[in-house]
This record gives sequence, C-alpha cells and structure tokens, in this order.
Amino acid sequence: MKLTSALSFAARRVGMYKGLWALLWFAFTALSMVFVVPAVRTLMPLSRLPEGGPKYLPGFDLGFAVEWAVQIVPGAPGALAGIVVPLLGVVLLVHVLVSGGAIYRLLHRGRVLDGAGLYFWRFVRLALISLLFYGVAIALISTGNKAIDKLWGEGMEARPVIIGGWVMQVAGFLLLGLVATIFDYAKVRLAVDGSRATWRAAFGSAKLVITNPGRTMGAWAAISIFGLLFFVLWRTVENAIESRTLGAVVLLLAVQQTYVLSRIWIRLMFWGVAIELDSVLRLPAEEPVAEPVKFVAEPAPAQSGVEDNPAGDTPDESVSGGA
Amino acid sequence: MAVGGCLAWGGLTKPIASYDIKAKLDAKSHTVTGSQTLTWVNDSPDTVPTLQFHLYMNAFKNSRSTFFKESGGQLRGDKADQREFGWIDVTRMRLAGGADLTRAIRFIQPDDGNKDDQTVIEVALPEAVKPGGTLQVEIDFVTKLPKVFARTGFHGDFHLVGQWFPKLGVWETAGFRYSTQGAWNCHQFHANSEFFANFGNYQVELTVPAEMVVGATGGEPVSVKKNGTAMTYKFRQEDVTDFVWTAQPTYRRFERMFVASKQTTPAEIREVMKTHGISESEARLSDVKMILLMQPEHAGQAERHFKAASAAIKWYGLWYGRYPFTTLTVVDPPFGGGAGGMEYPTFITAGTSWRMPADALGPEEVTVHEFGHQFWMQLVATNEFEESWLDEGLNSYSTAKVMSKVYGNWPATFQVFGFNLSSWLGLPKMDDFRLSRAANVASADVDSIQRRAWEYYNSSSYGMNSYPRTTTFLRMMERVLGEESMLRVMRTYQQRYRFKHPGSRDFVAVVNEVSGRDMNWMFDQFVFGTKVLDYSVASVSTNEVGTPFGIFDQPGGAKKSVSIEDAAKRDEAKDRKKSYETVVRVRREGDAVAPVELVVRFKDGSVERRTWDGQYRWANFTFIKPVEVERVEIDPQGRHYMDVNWSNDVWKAKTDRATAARWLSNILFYAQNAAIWIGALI
Repeated sequence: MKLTSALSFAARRVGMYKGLWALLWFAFTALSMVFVVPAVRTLMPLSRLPEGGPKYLPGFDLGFAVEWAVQIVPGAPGALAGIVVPLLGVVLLVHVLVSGGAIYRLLHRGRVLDGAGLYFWRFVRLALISLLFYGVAIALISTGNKAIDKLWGEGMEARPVIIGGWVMQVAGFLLLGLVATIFDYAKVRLAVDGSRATWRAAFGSAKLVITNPGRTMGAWAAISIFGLLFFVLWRTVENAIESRTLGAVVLLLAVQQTYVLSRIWIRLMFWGVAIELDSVLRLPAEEPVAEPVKFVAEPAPAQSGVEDNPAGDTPDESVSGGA
Repeated sequence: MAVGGCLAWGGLTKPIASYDIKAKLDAKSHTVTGSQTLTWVNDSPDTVPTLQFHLYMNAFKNSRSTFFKESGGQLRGDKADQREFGWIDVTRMRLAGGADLTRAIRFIQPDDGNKDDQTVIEVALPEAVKPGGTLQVEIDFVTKLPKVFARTGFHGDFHLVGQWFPKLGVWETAGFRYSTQGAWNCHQFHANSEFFANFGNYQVELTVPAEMVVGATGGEPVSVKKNGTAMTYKFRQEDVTDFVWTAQPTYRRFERMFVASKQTTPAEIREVMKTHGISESEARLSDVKMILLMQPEHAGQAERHFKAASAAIKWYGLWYGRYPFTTLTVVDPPFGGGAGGMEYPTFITAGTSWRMPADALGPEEVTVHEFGHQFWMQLVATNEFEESWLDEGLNSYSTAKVMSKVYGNWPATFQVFGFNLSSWLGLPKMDDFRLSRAANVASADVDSIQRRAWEYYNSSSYGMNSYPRTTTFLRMMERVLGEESMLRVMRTYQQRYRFKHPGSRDFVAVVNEVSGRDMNWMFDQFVFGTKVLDYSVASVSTNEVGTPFGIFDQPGGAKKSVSIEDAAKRDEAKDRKKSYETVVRVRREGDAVAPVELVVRFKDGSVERRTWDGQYRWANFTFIKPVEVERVEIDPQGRHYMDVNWSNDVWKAKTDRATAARWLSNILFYAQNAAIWIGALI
C-alpha cells in the first residue's frame, strides 16, 4: 500500500465516525473545564479583568498578570498548580480510555465505551512502557546537546552552536515523533491481535516503524504537516479577529473550537493510518490476514479483580486491513 | 611624567586621581604586566595619612573572596570558570623618587571584615599629604585575567580588560556626600556592586601582540608603534573616572560619525531651548566618532548598533546636555562570555547573537542603556556601591524613554530557527516602562530603593530596586510633575553635578527646587522607605432617593407632617422625577500615601471629579444625580505608576462582557490544546 493510499483510506475511515470526533471533543473539553471553571471562578475574577483603557495595554498587559499572581489572588499560581498536577494524571487516564475507545471504533466499528474498557489496562501498561522509550529519546537528545557544547568548547562564534541547537531541536522532535508513532502502532497491534502482550507489541511496533520508516514516519510527517497547516491557518485567522465585541468573541470561539476539532482529526488520523499500515506491513513476515486471530485470555491479576471482561472482547474479529 | 603635565590636560574638571600606565598583555597566559604612576591631588582641607586602593581583580582570586561568597560564583546568569581565576599582585609601590611603600601595604576589609578578601589595600604614608598637596606614587603590578566573568577577562583570544589596575579610593572630606569626617571611601568588591572613583586624566600605553585589534577608553590612539611582533598603542583621555581596553585579533572595526547638525533638526533644538530656557549653543550637540568593534559573525548587524548609539547620543544629549567627549567605542563581545552590557568611560560593551531577528531589540536596548551610563555614573559620577539607583535607575528610566521614543513598543522574543515569531503568535508588545511596572508589582515590599549594594535582601532585590523600581518611581514622578518639568529636573541635575559626585539628597533637592514642589513625600516613602502604594475603589452603591417622611419645619415656624404611606404614594407617581444617591467608597489598601483623583461617570454622560488627600484609610464620596452611576475610576491619568494593583482602580456598573468572554474563550482553548498535546505522547 502506498503512503498516499494509506492516508486516503485513513481519512475515509476517520471521516466515517464524526460522532467519535464529537465524543473526543467533549472529553477534552470536559477535562479542560475541570481546570477552567475553578480558575475563572476563584482565581481569575472576571470583574477585575483589564479593559484596555489608559492604564493597561490593550489585549494583554504583563503588569496585570503579575498583579493577578501577587496582588489580586495571592497564591494563585500555587493554587493553579494544585489543580493542574492532579489533573495531569486524570488527563493521562482519560487519554488511555479515549485511545482505546477510538481505536476500537475505527478498527472494529464497535462502541467507544466498550473499547475504552476493553483496552484500558493494556494501554495503561503501554503508557508506562512508553516512559522507558521517551527516557531513551530524551537521553539521546541530552547527549546530543552536550556533545555540541563540548565540540564548541571555547569557540568564539555562536553560529556552530546555534545551528547545532537547531539540528538537535529537529532531531529531538523527530525522536519524540518516532516514539509516539511506535506507541500508536503498538496500540493498534494490541487491538488487531486482541493481545495483551504489551512489551511484545511495543518492541514489535518499534521494529515495524524503524524498518519501514518511509511509510510509517512518512505518514507521521504528512499528518504533522497537515497539523502545521491547521496551526498556521488558525493563527492567521485569529490574528485578523479584533475581539473587542461580543460578536467578534463568538467568532473567535468558533475559530478556536474549529482548530481544536482539527487537532482531534490529526489525533485520529495517526491511529487511522496505523490501522491501515499495520496489517499491510506485518503481512509477509507475520500472521496472514485471512487467518482470524485467536484471543488468548490473560490470567486476571489475583488481587485486582477489575480487569476488563474477556468476554467483551471480539476474538473472532478478523484483522480488518485497509477497508 | 611631570605632575604639571598630568594636571594640565583637563579642560572640563579638575583632575584628582590621574594615571600614567604602561602595560603589556601576554595573550597566551592572559596576564597583564604593568607599571603606573598615580598622581593624586588632596583637594580636601584634611591631612591624609594613608592611601587606599581597590584591587578589584582579586574578587576572582578564590572562592573565599567576598564577591565569590556573595555571588556563589554566578552573576546575572553567567558562571565563573572555577579553573581560571583572576588576581592582581602589587609587586612594588613607592613614592615617586622616594620611599618604598611595598612593605606598608596591608589588606583591609572595611565592609564585612572577611579576612580572606583582598580587594582593598591600605598603605600608611611616611608623611601625610597636606591639604592641597599632590602625591605621586609609582606602582608595579601583575594582573591575571579570569575567564570572562562579571564583565572582565578573556574568552579565547578575546580580552576585555576592566578593573585591572590598582585604583585609588575616593577621599571624602566632612560634608562631601554623607561624610561627617574625612575618610577613604574604598569599598570591597561585592557581587552586586559596581564602582566609584575620582575624575582624572589617563595616559595609557598598551603593548599587545601585533595581530590584535585594540579598542580603549579615549577611542583613537594618540600614537602607535610597532616593536617586532608587538604593537604599542598610546591612549589618552581626560576627565574620566576609569580606563578600560579590549584586544582581539578578529574584531571587525567599523566607524561612523554622529554628525550633530544632520542628526538633529532645528525644531528639536528650538524645543530644547524653549523647554530649558537656554541658548542655541547650549542646546546644540557636538559630533562624535563612533567606533564599533564587532565579532565577524555579527558584522551584518553593524548598522543596527550605529543606529542605536546615534539615537542614544541624540536623545540623551538633547534631554540632558551634550555628550562632551569626541569618541564612543562600542564593543560587541563574543558569544558565550559574560562581557556584554557593561559601561566604562567613552567605551561600552553591547551584546547580540548570530541571526538576531530585526524586531528583537535586545542589542539596541543594551547599546542605548550602556551609552546612557556615560551620563549617569560617568559624567555625574555617583557612588555605585552605595547608591546604585542613581546610576542604574536614572539610566534605566532614560533608556526606557529613548527606546519608547525611537522604537515604540516591541514584542517579546520568541525565536524559531532564527525567526522571531512573537508578533505572528500574537504575543503582547511591551515597553520598558510596562516591564518595569510589572517588576515593581512583584517586588514592591522587599527593600527601599536606596540601600548599599550588598545590603539588599538578595541579588534579585538589588536588581529590582536599582533598575525597574527606580524606573517606575521616576515614571510616577514624571506623571505627577508633568513631562516638561521632569525634563527640566533631569537636565538641571545632570548639568549641575556634571564631573561631580552627588548623592541621593542632592537629587531630591534638585527635584524640589526645579519643580517648585515638595516632593519629599515620594522619596521618603519609596526611595528611603518601603511603603507600598495601592488605592482602590472599595465599593459603589446607588439607591433611589425616596420621598422623605416625618415632621418637617416650614417657613414661619409651622410644621408639616408626611406619613410613610404618603411618601410611598409619591414615590410611585408616574410623573415623579427620580433621583439617585451614589456613594463611592475609596480605600487606601497600601501603607503609602498619595493624593488621589476620583472620576465618577453617570449614565447620562455627566462626570464628577473629586480629589482626596489619601491620608486616612478610606473616604466616602456621595453624589445625588437623576441617573445611576455607570463607572468610577481613581487615578484616571495613571499617575500612580507605583500602584501595585491597577485592577481595583475601576468599578463598572456592567461587567465588560466582551473582555470576560474573550478571556474565557482563550483559557478554555489553551486548556483544550494542552490536554490534547499531553495525550499525544502516550
């Protein structure tokens, strides 16, 4: 399958499930509201907001931000951190649920909630394994930066070290993208195989992505470019909106939420392409497409008792391949 | 060197401490070997039995120096190289043609008693110097430069040689600044302090490897001689307090003339004449040769530096009086050093980097600021150890004015691959006054603006008070006095104390005299005190005024009774003209006191103005009007620039729904994006 075909199939597949977009938008918005509501109610009193005028700069004045943190609501940054830190954990868990539900929906056309529950624990394990991969990636980036500093040494010119820094920024971005892609394929692999072997999925996907960089990372790059285009478009439109009236603010809200939807589309596209390419790229070396994947139940942990219900899985589903 | 010759050059001020120095740079060991003849004039009525010298370079000698202990080996983000120390040894000291003083040298620690600190020496003289007497001392010294730190030292083959020779302290007689009796003012070198010295004439011969490009105080060398593989440059500069030089073989040297007649317009000169009531010859500027020593990779930014330097020469000159020297040397230090952003007489270091975006104005701002120090600490030579606000603060305020005048607001820098995306990303544009005010809000209650540099709560407080808080304070003073009056204050202070050593009280006296107002209330609360300014509109209530009921005296002694029921009926009558009682309560939230202006706008467009002395904790203002109140604001002109909370200065009957909605939309949007980004990684 060509890269363009994979992208095309993925776009078609993602386009079929607009309800999924809405659900993901709702999930991310609900999560955000956990932060926004207390932030606005207690930490950012709306009646105190600067209105432009002779004192504050229009739009945003750094002085107001400092007043807010030091004078208006002393301790606000700490209080916000108190909301954000536990919320980060919730966000990660919700992402695990959302990714399970979305992949299940895209792959098996099943109910999102079923997929969220079905894949929850194995995706949690996968997320923990990803920390190891990200750790390696960050160590590589750090080593690269240190090597540049060492090579520069007592240098008098900034050019080499600045260019080196740019190279490392690009390399770092690519490395993080590589790890993210590996774990997108790992999730899809677990879902396709109905497997719980998360380590095998992680390393198998790493091998798959690294040995097929043209299509896997090529798709990642293509979707990322779409993301960049959406970003540029949003920024350009928002720059043109003078949000001084309620009508203009409504327009601003619409533009911003459209951009959020585009971000969700990008997220779904990464999974969609992984679904398209996974079966094709694994076809010759591993199990044939026609043969159904047998679901092998993993022994439930002795203490938890909350493992997902194997009966709810869909062991008889065949690998879907490019739909 | 003849004493008479040394004293004779100065045309602008009487030289007190003049130096004739011969020095040689060993570029491999980064060592300067020198000999100097100091000529000191005892301009006081005191008989002076000792001399005290700064040996600044010993601040970098080891980890037990006061500088190192205070700084922890880090200053303004730069870290000292713990393997490349700097030091200075006085190898010989003797009176010219007379007694050897070397054995009489002893280290003293007048500030903190740290016996390990070797940044000040005292020498007992065999014979005290009588009032009006002149003393010549010959000193041999060796200075090892540190890896660039605190704006001096070497980096590769770049050398910035500042604070490098034994430098005499300042004899302060009774009545001089704050002295009650004659004594040396010779502080140790502290992490947060700069310098203080008398004016004098400098003649310096520098021998360096022939390939070096050299720049120094004085600009152009008066002579250049080649001796084999070395070159000897001779520089002279009168009427300055210090001498610095730099050498690097790869400097790109550029020159431009600041031609006063071309850079200023007749209208600008007339404006200066009118504002200050001075003649055209006093208002006019003079030509200045600008010498720029750039790193090769920054050569393309030369014009930016010249433009900034020209703007500074022009506006500082027009506002405060012409720059009296004929040259200005701007040095662009290499990347990775700590040599940028420093001021010396006729010589400054700027700072940029490769591919600095055109709209990132860091290089311009640092050039303007460091040039400004020619006025605030060089021409008006205040004591930077003890009153840093008088140099850094007055200069930061002046820098902000020049930058606003020439460049306007500029965006924060957000560079991606050398492109500044901040404007496109919609990041806010700011100016120095706004940034300074934000800093004041964050640090208003820590220290008074004036303290000795090493006695602030911490380094951050030194920085906040010496730079942005003073800027904010002077901005408030400008708004209280009016811009023109403030210009007259600043120019008078500059002109009156040019080539002198004023203190804070001298500045206060000039402010009061020139403005014709007693402004001590501002200085006492913020410069010498730690008061915090914050007034608020505490509450606003509007109630319809009902028909009064009860017993009312009538003309002729009769009494009229109005029952509560009758009053209620009249209130409900359709043809009744309504009236509203609006009560505005204004509060003093902080402990600083300032006059308060109150503006109350009503729904029919009428406006009421009141003033309040702001003394008591609160005050009520009552208005009876046919309509309800729409908006209340205190300090509508923004004179209270030191007020730490502007958001409580305004009360509105209606919340600004568009602003609130915009903030809500933005907060939600960025929270959503953050949530999606976080999840994208797992």
